[in-house]
Amino acid sequence: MLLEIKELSVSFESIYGKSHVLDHVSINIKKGEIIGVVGESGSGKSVTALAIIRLLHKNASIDSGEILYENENLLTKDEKEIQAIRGKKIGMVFQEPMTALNPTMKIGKQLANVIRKHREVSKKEAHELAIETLKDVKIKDAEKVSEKYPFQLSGGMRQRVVIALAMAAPPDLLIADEPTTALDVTVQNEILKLMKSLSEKKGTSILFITHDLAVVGNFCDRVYVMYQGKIVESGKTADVLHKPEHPYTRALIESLPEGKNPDEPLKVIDGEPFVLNSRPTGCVFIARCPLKTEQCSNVPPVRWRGTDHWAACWEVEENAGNPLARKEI
Amino acid sequence: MWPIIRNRLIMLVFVVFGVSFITFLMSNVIPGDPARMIVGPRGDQATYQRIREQLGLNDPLYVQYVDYMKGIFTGDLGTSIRTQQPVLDDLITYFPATLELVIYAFLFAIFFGVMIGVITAVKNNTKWDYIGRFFSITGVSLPVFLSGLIFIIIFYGKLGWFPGSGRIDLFMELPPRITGLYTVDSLLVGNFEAFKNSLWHLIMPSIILGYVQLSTIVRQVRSSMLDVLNQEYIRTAKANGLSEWFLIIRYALRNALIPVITVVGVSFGMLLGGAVVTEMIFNWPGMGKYVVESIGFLDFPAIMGFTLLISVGYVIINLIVDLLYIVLDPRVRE
Ligand SMILES: Nc1ncnc2c1ncn2[C@@H]1O[C@H](COP(=O)(O)OP(=O)(O)O)[C@@H](O)[C@H]1O
Ligand SMILES: [Mg+2]
Repeated sequence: MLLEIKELSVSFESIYGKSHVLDHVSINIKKGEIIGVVGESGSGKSVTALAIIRLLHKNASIDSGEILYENENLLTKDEKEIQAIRGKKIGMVFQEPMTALNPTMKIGKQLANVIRKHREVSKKEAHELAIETLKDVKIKDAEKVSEKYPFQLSGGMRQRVVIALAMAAPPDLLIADEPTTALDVTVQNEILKLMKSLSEKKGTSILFITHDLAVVGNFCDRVYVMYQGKIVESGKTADVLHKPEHPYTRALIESLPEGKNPDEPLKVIDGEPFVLNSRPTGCVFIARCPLKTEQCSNVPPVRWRGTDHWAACWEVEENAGNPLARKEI
Repeated sequence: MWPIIRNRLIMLVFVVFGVSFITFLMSNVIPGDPARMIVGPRGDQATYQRIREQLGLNDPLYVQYVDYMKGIFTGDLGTSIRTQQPVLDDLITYFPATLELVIYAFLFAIFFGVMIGVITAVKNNTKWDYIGRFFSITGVSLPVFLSGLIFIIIFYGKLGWFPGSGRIDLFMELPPRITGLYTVDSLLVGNFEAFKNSLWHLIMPSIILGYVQLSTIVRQVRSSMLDVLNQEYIRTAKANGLSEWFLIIRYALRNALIPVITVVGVSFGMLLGGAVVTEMIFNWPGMGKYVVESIGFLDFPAIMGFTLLISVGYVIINLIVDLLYIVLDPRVRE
């Protein structure tokens, strides 16, 4: 296993009190795998990503859990050790390409700085490598682009540069937090293709975070569905998309525009997510669930539907029990 | 870049016209008769009239103004009533002393202002933050005459570390006059003794003068830096594995300084204006002393020349500020 997030709980301290944002989240990533994390905005995806590279906001606290990278707990590393891992072992791409680059530094220079951080090369070699890296992310005229400033590039180009920065080492794991959300659809697909080919070429695993279940389809090997800081379902992408078990996953899929009669109104999930400092004690989806029963006020069990596929829901029937993992999540 | 310079130069012409018009008017509105000052209270009427004639005081006002403006554009700012020297010559004699003091004060304020600003931002809400802010706030709270006297008493009187007055020791051979800045001229001719000596004289007055501007710069740099450190590109760069201080110096600082440039430019102008008191305390032979004495003498040509010089100085500072924006911010270059 490359990365194992085990029972991670994170909370934030604010003027409204403590809010529990991640609730015993567990995610596994094998070498070379592309893993999706899907959930509505506010469900805690970014917090998960930031926790891995230890860039959580100052008012965040990690209440429990471990994050094992090649069996070493990242949460107990000191600042110097974690710095040696950032970028070099674990790269990160953020959502907003417009603000992710230093506005007053040339693209080539920004890349060269990162390259020199990870490899013992001269300034000149770093600059040449920077241009190579730009070519890797399919930027034409890499030499010219390396002399440009971020504001001179389009959103799609900037996101390629951000990916180039994250892949400069190249790392073993790339965390991509909604890397295409801010881009228009054609550019989105190019970026996805690019990440997939980089992953194959360099053997980099990807933790792909998105609010858009439709994007996950032909991109991820496995997905985790997250709702309000809790993983509610997980499995192979095809299983989760075609045989969704958790009522929340089903609602997500029903709200997709794909393959629907354009005249038919899109389905939206009824109700509102709860306020974070009033977490329900039982199932997190209870307030919006069409299937809820009395037992839902207790923490739902993990119900296995196949060797890889499970949902945390009282209403799901277990059919292919996994004897190793009968624990609550 | 060229349009900016052109605009500033056009502005310069307007400023010269505006300022000279206002000072000219004021010199005629303020009661006081320069001719009387020259002949003295017991001077006879004939001499008095002759002097009025010489100074052009009997001409109609608009003739006086046209004469004055003609002078300005041919480099003739009139003759000082007090020193009987051309005002331009006086300015050339005294201004470099002030400029040198102001430049060193400015360097002091910038260097420590930026340094403390960065540290207080990076160490936000720790004891370093409080110490740095307290240190800089003291500068504006203490009036210059007080901090200047305290410095003189301690570092000159008690400890004898620094000289207490003047630009250079009396027995020191003066460097030849090239720029008029002793530290520069002495270096240009390789006279290191004179360089050391004049630098030594500069330390106390420039610290006193610069200390006042320190807190403005600290406050601006600190808030700008806090803002930049919260930007996404800083987080991206951290996620790319760059170390904290590399980020602060190479990524954050430059971006943080851009919005600070204007304030720093204004600071420099304030130093020029504020040098008067410091010069009086340290017996510094600069513009400040010259002007204060000229005012006492109702020496209008001198006062007008000084005002004009400072105004032109402000325009030039603004030009430099504009150019700095271009240097620091590639987005402005387009
Ligand atoms: N610095 C913070 N202080 C308080 N609450 C925060 C902070 N950052 C995120 N949160 C809360 O944590 C929850 C999860 O946020 P996030 O992980 O950004 O969601 P998303 O799934 O959209 O990426 C949200 O409800 C958000 O309000
Ligand atoms: Mg997010």
